[in-house]
Amino acid sequence: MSSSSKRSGGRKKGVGAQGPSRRARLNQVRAAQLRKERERRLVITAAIVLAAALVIGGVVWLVVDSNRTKQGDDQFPVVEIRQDPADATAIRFAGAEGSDGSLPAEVPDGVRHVELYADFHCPACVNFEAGFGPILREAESKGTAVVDVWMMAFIDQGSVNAANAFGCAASQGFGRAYFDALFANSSRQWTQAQLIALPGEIDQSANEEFTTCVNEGQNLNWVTSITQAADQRGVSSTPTLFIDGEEVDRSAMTEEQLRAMLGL
Amino acid sequence: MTRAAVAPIVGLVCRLALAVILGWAGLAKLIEPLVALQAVQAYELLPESLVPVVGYGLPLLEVALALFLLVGLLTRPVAIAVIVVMLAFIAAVASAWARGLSIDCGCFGGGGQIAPEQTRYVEEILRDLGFILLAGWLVLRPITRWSLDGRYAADHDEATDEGGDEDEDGPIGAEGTEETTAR
Repeated sequence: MSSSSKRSGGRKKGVGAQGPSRRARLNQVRAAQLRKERERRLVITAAIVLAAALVIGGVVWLVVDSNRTKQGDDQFPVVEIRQDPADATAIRFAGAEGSDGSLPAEVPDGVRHVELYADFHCPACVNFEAGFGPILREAESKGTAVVDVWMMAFIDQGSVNAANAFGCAASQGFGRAYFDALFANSSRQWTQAQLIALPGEIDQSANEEFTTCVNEGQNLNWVTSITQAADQRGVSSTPTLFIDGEEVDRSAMTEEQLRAMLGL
Repeated sequence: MTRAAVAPIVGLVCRLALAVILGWAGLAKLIEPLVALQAVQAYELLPESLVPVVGYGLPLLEVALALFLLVGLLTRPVAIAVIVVMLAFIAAVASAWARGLSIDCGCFGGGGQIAPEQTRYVEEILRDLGFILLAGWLVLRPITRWSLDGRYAADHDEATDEGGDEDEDGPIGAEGTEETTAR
């Protein structure tokens, strides 16, 4: 930098030697500099404002847009969405009898109480189901554990549709089979049509009640309240596993460890 | 060619390379925003309520930084921001690694859970360190060829001497003028 200053200083000495025009020349230079400086400030301010608008506006737009479709402008008839965590209930797979109910009863003494927070489109949940799902089912059927699932829906519209339809299936008595089929085919988008066709693939009939429930999003309040309740409980990622109310660290959990925890 | 002439060209290469890398990374995520959300979620670092903010905000920020680098405006602050972002990426990847997660970093789209043998944590971290080196050059020598910063910094010289083409390497303006007027 210092060498540059010397160089330009030297040149200016030459300019000065030309005499009377020197002052005018300098004024010109100074005016040009001021113009450039003003332009520079303007360009920088404009660029910062534009960049901030791009980032903040973009996030707001994308979030609002995804919420809009979540609330179902295109997918569901308009329903008022309440987000009251008090409305949240888990769906309990009753186990040995193979029945499903949305109203959990007491967990008997000596039986492990498993709670799973998941999202039908979360890749980690899909992996969890593939690896550990069969163990949970075995514990259910042997009566050593009762499994409650809290279906969150935050990944995309398909998560919301699927969680809603899962609620419908549970009320119709085929919640467990439907849950397994949803995870087994998680690469599907989960449009209403796909969700209504799914029971046919697992030898269940999609009666009119089920179809209406899926199409109208009758469980949307329930779905949103679960997400709220999960937030309140501090569940920050899916899948999250609780056994008897204690969160299980599943980062290094092996199948054998889970079997032991469930009394298998 | 003198060192003073080469430096702005090296800077230009660093600047444009970073612009392309960040622009590519940002746009790849914006094309598939839901995949970007899954990628953020897979790190298991953020509460669900913040996942969309980061999932959408990060690619937009990358694109914004890329645009600044492309035109060469506010190069030094932008390069510092790039380094901060890259350090955050490295921390996130390292933490995923340390916690035994098997995920793709989702740096250029994609992301989410993968098989343990497919993880490439070392490469991902080394790659980000490489980007930090590029940005580091720009922090030290922010004035580069064909940049808006260069245009404003070289202002004084362009106005005073004719045909000078080696003048993009530093804010020469004010001191030079004072020196002249004092004489």
